[in-house]
Amino acid sequence: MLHRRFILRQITRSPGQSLLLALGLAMAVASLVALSGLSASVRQALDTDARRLHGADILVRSNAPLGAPLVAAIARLEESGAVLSVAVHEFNAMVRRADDTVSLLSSLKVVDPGYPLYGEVTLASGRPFRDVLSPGVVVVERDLLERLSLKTGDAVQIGSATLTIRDVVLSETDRPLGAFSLGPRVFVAGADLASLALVETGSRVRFRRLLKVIGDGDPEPLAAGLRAAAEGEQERVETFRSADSRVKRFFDNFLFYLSLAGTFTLLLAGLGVGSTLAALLREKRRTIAILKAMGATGSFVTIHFLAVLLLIGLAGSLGGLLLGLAVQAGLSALLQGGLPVPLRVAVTAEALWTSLGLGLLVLGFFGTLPLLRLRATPPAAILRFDAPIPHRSAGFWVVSILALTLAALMLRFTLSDGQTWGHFAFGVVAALGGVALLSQALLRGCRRLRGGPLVLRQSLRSLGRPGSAAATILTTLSLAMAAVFALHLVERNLDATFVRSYPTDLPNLFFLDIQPNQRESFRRVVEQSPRFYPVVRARLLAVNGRAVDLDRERRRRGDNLARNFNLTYRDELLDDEVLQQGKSLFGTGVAVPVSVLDDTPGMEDLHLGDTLTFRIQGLPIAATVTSIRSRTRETLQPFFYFVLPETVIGRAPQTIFAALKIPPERSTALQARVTAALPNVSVVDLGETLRTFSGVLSRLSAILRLFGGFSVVAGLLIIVSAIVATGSARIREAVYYRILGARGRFVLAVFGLENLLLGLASALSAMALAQAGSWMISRRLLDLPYQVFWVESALLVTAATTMVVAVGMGASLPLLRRRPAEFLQARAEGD
Amino acid sequence: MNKATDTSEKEPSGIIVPALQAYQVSRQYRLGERLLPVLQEVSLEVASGEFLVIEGASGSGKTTLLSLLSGLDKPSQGRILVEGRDITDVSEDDLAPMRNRTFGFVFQSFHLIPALSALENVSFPAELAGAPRAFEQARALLDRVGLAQRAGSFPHQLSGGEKQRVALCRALINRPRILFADEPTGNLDSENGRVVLDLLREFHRELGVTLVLVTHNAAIARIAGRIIRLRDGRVVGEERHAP
Repeated sequence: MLHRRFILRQITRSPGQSLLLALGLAMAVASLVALSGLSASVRQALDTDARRLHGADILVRSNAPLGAPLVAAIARLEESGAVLSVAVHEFNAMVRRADDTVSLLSSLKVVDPGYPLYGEVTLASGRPFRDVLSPGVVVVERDLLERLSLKTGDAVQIGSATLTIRDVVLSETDRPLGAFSLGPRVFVAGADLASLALVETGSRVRFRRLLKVIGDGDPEPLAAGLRAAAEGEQERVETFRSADSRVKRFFDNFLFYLSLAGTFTLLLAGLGVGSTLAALLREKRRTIAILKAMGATGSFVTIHFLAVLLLIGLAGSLGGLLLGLAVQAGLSALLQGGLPVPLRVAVTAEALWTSLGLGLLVLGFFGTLPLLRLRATPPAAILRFDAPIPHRSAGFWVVSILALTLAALMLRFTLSDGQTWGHFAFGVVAALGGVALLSQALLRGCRRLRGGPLVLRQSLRSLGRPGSAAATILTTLSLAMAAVFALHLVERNLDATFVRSYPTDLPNLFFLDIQPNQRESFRRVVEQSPRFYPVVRARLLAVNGRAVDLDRERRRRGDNLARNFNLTYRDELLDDEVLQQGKSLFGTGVAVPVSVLDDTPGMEDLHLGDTLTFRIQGLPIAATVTSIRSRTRETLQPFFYFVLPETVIGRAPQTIFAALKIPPERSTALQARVTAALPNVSVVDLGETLRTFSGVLSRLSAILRLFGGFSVVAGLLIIVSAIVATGSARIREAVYYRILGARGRFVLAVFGLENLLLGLASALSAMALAQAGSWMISRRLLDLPYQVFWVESALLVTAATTMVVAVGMGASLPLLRRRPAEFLQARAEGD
Repeated sequence: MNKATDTSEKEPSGIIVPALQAYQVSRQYRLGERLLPVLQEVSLEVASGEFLVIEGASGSGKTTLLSLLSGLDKPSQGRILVEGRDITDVSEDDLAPMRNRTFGFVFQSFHLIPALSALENVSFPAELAGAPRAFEQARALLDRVGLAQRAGSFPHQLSGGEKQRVALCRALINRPRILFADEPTGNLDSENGRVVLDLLREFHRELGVTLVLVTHNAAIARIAGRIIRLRDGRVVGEERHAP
């Protein structure tokens, strides 16, 4: 039978510890509720709208015109009435005002009648898209009208054609994340494709055929038939279920980061819960000894204190639930517009139960072990305040292993990617082990130190006292800080990579698709002699004769070897390049040499003499690695992974691009001049593109910060709980110092220095861990260049140390006001 | 250790000032809504160099009286004078030098600092006082009580008897004029209890220190020159005899 009053009294007699415990859990649950709601909404939107997002049942994609066998196979299916199909060509091109005064790089989508097969393209006029788009007219995004100062009914020049703007597009069923395209959308009718004269050999055009299966047929067998007709890897046939999309990839990365933040919060909250719980239960040791002395069994103790934990856990979880729901409301507001899928953040009953369950699991995992140890409290503790805590039994270790397994499964639940979970779990265990060993070594060092001022010696001895909780606190604090630091560093690296201001000394205009015979004209128009970068499109087939595993490559989170590469030819290094291996770019005596950039994805183990096999326009070319280059600056300067001599690929179909640094006030006029003279040349204004990027990213960044904030709060709770956990030891020492004649400032100095050492050691080891962890996450998982951020790191260490000192001193100051007799009396009475 | 020849405090007029004086001292504790009187209107004087035992049953108020006399606690009413100086309203910080140099403490639960070795525990008050040879003095004291070999041990590595001897050395290192001992043998077996009591008497005689010892044990009380008996917070008897 449960003694309800006894259970409630245990909570009300330790209000501080109970509150900290509940807050720790609340942070974990709030973070989980918010995260699960967001993830569920994204997944639901992606699943439900997969057909609409891809605009087809079957998608055929290629970067070159579809081969005859595949075209014939599609035609056969159409003739048999199994499918409907439309052709779609997507590419970037300059759209000019008819008076050639201004132009803008735009994302062209040339579509056949019948598009879209699924979903809708919504127009400002409200008319059906199919009725509006016809030969000779275009439908454009409002942004284009604003930036070119045009209105519906005006004419625009695209390539060689003059077309009339008929309507404004508001939304598009299968559009990739709009903010990441290089310019506003322009729909052109398929019949006008030839008159644009923009699709030439080597042009970057994405050729797509969208197929709609008639009736309720399964698209998979039909897709399999088309795959058989497809040419190698260049032509990809997928169904709406299997197709990857930029939207999907984008959200995959986004949710991955959030789940990482959520997992950190869970871990931090767990550590906080563990630390607070240990302190709370230590306070109850005397009570348990009394209960046992009166005949209470271990089960009685376990059940009643389990009930105490459950009540606190329930309160914390419910608080977290409410906080999570409030965050959900905030997320809904943040996600209004700007994203490619309509997200309605709603909390499902399943998500709520799961979050509550996980919250209680955190409590169970971190609470079981202290509870088990407490259960073994001997009745003798009633007589001796310092009665030893019994040794750990076999049952303790069994439960420990079970609990660790449970924790691993919890992490597996929050990190759905198995490989990441493995890395994360390994990282956490390695970090835990490393920090624990470091803590032990530091404390052992503290015990051995002799000499120095009395205050310093006392502080060191207080840290290293036998049986002290300093090692546990140091480990907990280090891990907590490391998680918070790592999140911050990853976020800063994301920010630095994507949102940083554009470097002033670098090119801001990139001119793409210049034809080889247009070099002179281009020089004349821009009135400069820029460097030309020839581009030859190629695929990498094999490394040292071993075929590139395309499936595996495509699964990589970052860049991969399965994509089309841009090769170039030249005979010298660029200004920002140095040779890492090899005496010159192409060595001597090698028939087909290739120079490789050292950070080419998946080529970390490449050596001189290795062979790379490319396919250029259907022809395989085997090249020998003669040098490995490295870039001296991680900037937006043009770079190529593979450089070959002109003698090898100079005659291959190619385009050229050039990069220029043009003052912003001259940029618009120059773009207009170039596109008027060379209509096929596209201009990318990187400054403008980055401004668009940062608009969306700042919105996403707010969400990331929100989740990171949970981790920070959970980390702060750990610091507070760790300091509170050692409160009784500090009181005792303060009293002893006072009895022996120490003044208040001596006691404060000892505590201050102790906290300073604790904070500094924790913060430094945490920073080392965080740098290692965030490097791994940035480089390996997110494929970002990594920066250490020395100044910020130093500030973080200082801030964390100051916080530990402040919290520690805040907890210590009241001790000084207590009279020694109060403590001695309490000890005598066993409180 | 040099024998103290005269530890009496004399005023300029030549009048001998008692080591400790308590005037109408009462102490109450607040328990919720009500006040619990623990000590009621106790007055006493302890002469310099005297060995006084405060005897009484558990709950009689003897430890409370010792706490008040030694400045570890403040009386609810009445005044406490140490060597003629009123300490009733003195702040904790102003009491610190007195606790460090004038007083020495020995407790039933030893109260050694767990983080420090036996030697460091003993030297700590001397270091606080700025003594230049604190460690040598501490070592000499430990040697005197037979613990030279245990100087590097931490409290958790010492037996109860050893802990109390370390505590005694710590109490004496600054050569205090008044030594307070609260049930110093309460946590010890009879053999170790006897050793500690012998040491206390030895130091009392040798240094001329004023010794105030609290006990519930009548047999121990008999070794003192003067016994004050407490019951329910009041002095119920006093006895003097040759120790």
